[in-house]
Amino acid sequence: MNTRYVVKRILYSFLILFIVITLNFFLPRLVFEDPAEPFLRGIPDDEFMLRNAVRKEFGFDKPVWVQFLVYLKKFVTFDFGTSYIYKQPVFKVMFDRIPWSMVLSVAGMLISIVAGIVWGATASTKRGKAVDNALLNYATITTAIPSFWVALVFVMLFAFAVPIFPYRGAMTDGYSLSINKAVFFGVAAGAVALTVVLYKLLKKPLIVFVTPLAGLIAAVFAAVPASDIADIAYHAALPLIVICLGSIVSYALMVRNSMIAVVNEDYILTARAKGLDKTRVLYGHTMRNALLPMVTSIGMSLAGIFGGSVLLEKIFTWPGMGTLLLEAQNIGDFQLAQAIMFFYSFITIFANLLTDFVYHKLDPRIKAE
Amino acid sequence: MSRDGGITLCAAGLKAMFVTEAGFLKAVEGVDITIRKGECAALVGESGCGKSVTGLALMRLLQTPPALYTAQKILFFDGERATDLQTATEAEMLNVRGRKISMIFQDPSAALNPVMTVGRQIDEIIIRHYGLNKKEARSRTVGLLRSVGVPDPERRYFSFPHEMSGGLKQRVLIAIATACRPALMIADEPTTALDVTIQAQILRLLRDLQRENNMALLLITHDLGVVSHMADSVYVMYLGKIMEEGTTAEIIGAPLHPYTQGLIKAVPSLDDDSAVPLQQIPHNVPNPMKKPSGCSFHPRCAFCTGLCRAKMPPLIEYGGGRKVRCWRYIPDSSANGGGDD
Amino acid sequence: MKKLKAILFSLAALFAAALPAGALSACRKPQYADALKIGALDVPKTLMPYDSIAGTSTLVAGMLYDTLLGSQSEPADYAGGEDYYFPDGEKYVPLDKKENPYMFTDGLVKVEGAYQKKDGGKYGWERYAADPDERRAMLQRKEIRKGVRLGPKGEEVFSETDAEFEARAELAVPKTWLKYTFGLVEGNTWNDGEVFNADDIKFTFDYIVKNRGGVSAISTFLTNYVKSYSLDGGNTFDMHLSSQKLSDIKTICNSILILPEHIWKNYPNPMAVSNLDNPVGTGAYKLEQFNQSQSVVLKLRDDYAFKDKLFAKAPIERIMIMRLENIEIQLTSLNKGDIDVIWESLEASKAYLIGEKADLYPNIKLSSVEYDFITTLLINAGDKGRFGDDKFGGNGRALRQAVSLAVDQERLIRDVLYGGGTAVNGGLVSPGQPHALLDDRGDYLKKEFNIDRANAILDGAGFNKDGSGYRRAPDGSELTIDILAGIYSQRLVQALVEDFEKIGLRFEYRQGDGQTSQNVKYEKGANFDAYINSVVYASDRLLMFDARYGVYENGSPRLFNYSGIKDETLIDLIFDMDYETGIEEQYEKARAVQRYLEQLYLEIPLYSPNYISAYTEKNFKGWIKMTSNGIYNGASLRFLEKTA
Repeated sequence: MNTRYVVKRILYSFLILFIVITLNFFLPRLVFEDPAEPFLRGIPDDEFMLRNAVRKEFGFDKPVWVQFLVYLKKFVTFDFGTSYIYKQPVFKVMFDRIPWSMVLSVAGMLISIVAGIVWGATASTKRGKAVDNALLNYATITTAIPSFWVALVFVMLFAFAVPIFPYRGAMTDGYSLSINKAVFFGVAAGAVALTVVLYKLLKKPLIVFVTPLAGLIAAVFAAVPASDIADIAYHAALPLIVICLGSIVSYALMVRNSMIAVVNEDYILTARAKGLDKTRVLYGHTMRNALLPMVTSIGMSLAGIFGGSVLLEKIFTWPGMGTLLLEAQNIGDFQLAQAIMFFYSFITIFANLLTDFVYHKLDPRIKAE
Repeated sequence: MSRDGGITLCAAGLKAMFVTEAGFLKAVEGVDITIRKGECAALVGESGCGKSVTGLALMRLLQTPPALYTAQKILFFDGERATDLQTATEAEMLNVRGRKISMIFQDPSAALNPVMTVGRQIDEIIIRHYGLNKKEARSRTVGLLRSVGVPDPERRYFSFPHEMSGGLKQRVLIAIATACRPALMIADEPTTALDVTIQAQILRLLRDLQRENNMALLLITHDLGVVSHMADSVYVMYLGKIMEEGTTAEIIGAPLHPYTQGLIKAVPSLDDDSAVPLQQIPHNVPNPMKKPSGCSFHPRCAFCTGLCRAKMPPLIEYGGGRKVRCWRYIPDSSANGGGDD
Repeated sequence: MKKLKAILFSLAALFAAALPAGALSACRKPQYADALKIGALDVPKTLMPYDSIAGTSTLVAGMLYDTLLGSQSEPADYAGGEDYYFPDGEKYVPLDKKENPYMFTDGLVKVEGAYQKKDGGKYGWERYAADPDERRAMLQRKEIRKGVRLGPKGEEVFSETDAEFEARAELAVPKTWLKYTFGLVEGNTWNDGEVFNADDIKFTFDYIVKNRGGVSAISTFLTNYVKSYSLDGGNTFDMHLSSQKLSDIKTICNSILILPEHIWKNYPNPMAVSNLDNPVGTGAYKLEQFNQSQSVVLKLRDDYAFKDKLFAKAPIERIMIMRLENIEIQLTSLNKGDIDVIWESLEASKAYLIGEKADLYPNIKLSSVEYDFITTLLINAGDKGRFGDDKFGGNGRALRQAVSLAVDQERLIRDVLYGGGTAVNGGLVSPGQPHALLDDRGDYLKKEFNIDRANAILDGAGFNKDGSGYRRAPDGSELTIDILAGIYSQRLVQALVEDFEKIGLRFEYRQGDGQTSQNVKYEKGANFDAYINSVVYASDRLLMFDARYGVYENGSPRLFNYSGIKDETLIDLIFDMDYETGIEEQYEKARAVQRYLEQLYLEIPLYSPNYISAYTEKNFKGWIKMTSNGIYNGASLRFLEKTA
């Protein structure tokens, strides 16, 4: 994979991003007849002069292409406008809530991946035994039962009936998060730099995934006081359990099937015929091939990390991003909806790009066009 | 093609069986193989006769949950010592595999790890058995690649399997298999997946390596042409049992067993007239799970008798190291003596 | 594999060990354990005083800020007709509603002057003739200029004669105005310590008019206001109103939150300013914590001038509003006592379940009171609809009448609301209201329910039944009527469909989506046959009359006049009623409007569902049921005390 390909892909992504931004601007204007509507709510229809004045104030009287240019200019400076619902800059509204969603999704994903690999690998080596059967049966059950029902049942059981866990919120009532932003961003930036350096040094593609993650976790521990972390962890336990119940199974199943397929390949036989011990064969040969599909799958779900599940967040009153888009649409908060849609598109494009690069490095059979 | 005396491998009573949902599949039923130092023995038979399984069983590469195998003994002579591979622990086998006995497989495309460079795959075995570091291993690997005839080995070190042709890949596998100068190499259909011209190159390579390293070669194949080129001794297998064994000249020139005869006659010659019909052995190889009674070849044998249908003939000495399993060569075969189980 | 398993096992062990340890350390005591806790679906998302998206925003706004007359309405009648006593021991004497047209007490801001000035009185309102200059200025402000009549896009339509102009101007800006004099009690301060006086009121009103874009909902009323100024060292406030509408006055006195001049003069444009983190108001409570859309914590001000008047028992130091979005969790939490009351009205079926199964939630009590919310079936009889008077060969009205006669309100209340509701007549005013439509004996008029008569009317109008048992239009074409409604009204619509089958009409449910309100609005196409609508009576104006059936000055239908009805008689009657200043007279004119409206059969009342509050007495007792309100209301706050 050469530089030319990398550059080409990045440029291509920018092109898609630009198309998305443009669509993001025009589509809502096609769906909602009047984008100035939220601002004009409450002004009776007969106060025409007043309506015009408001329209003018927020730039809706200019021709569409002028509005578009203003929109682009604001985008570049991360000015996504002010949210009609929250009366705050959209940027602030979104980025106050995204980290909460991330806490659940990232932790959930990590646990699910590790546990999934262990379970799946074990099940693949012990086919037909209890471990394997448990996995297959359990997979059927989890796909059938909706997660919000499980969440409700768990809340009733483990938060009310036997009050082990709290049932609402991310922190105990009345407390709020105190985070040292300077430290946090400092460590995070350091992690990014470290990724680049390590990659250049070691050339292992998985570093691109692992190091930023480790850096993120380190940043959290550095910037947030321990009592807050403990509090959040305590509140996150039940939602995490609910999330992982479903995720573990999908990863485990994927790993199991992949490993069964790989183990029957001839090159595993070659590896064993070389006299390599079981561990070396397992990690270096079997897993190295079997986990490739999982990389793609993880990459695809990266975008979901930031989103959060609306239903679960409603049930646990978790201050995440899930409900934001819903609110924005229902109430017609134009700026907010636009920004969220853009954010999701951006993350998806970026995740695709990243996965693409990593996968190319991991699987040499993919030709870089 | 020398016979310098000294045995490398002596296996007796090798049996391998698979436990499946449909029942037991007896793939190998009592096989005795002896391979001398530096010689090339061929294990011949049609597909499904159990020859690949034999090879895997010798190295104990079969996965034991579905497979079961036993042997009276599998003696491996390495220099002075003899090891019974049958009773060796897995740890001991790990030291044997790749180092003392190596194996190459039929389809070179499938036999190499697609996400690793070929250089690293060769390094792996060197590092495993010699404990060298990466740099040392690398120089050895490059030398190995050169010795098996891979052009531009320094660059090819970094190639991935999918970037190489079939012939090159097979050379790489041979390089892996000869990296530690094993005393015995088992080659399971090494040329079946290759073009004829490449075949010849590979075979020549194998022969050269044999000579250089005084390495014994167990060649598993169904191609009699290859056998006649390479092998010193031949074992003919059918449905898990050795039907005939002897030197190449004997087997090819004067086959005893009807099956062997059929096999030889079935090879079309370039000189044959197009009007001459292709000789076939009638019917097909039966399902190994439903072996015929008595002599397992009897449904396809032109000389089949009632005794053949009833009882499996034993493998008897025919003189001069030759053995054959057929009632036709057993005097008093109408008597009830000596059947094999 | 072993290595990985070992890692996982040790992680699990770590987790298992950490959890109790973490739980112990992290199990902080919830702060504000002694607060009054309200569980709500929607917690205010912003603290800007004029932008309420969530229902609880008005609650919070009312606690942080005061209006001219406080936001307290008078304690109403509650079950048993007990006597109430104010915190200082004074017995409460209900106001004579005939004498007090505005039906509110002087609230905590202690402003006098909502009443007509009595002889010798200093405060109140009185009429005076407007100065011609004043009037001209007002006309200009309302952009009523002679000779130019503005169309929808601001373009000139035609010019008018002097007489026409004068007639139009008199309607919009009459020649005699009202002057209000309010007196403020001394000692009230803003919650940051600054003194509160009439300058702040003037500033607020000026601000709102100047920023009509930002606080537009209120500003429309203030276009009627000309000037206010303070006299007497800042504690008397005069206001001149060019409107005579009682409802306008009520809104001005009751809905406008007074803003502090010393803070808000720095915010010229409320729309562009970010959320105020520290709202400064004259209300009894101060903001202690705001967790955006999660919780709001209010703390009682120490320096509140009227603190002693506010509480009958021990003061409630803190109020916490928490977001709980799932009804099951809300109820369980309430039962446990983690929250004390649920803000929103409980769904009728849920309330029924709780009532029936007393052991399900043993600690939850329910309060079911009449409410001013009326569910109606709106029939599209405008010119874009199918059911105008002239449709069906002139029998459109007969059809509507038959539909109205077939609605069995008692049965709907029984089956859909499980008994938690009241029947309402065609005047669309609830039985509890002073201006409700009465029958000849002075009792509340019941809507007529008569299946036989409905059938007879339809037979006579030519809607004959065909083979399937359903009626066809007089011209023989098939007749199916859609009822457009959201998902939550499905049961109601089902019941209606069954009712209408009894008169042989085929009605069908058509599910509304997010665009429903667009479809229904007149200017968007009025794309409906019938629509499940709701009518809310707001005490400060007789909303459903004006907004529902009126038109703007340029003739286009008002915002909530979904069908686009332009009945001239009705418009005149409404107008007459609006500008009547005598309260009894206004009630009588309201009844005249209702009588007329009833005969039009445009909007058929179905029922008025009760407001069902769920609360518990684990932590607080002394809840006050109030008609038209939830169990947590202004009066409750005064009388609550901690359960010992």
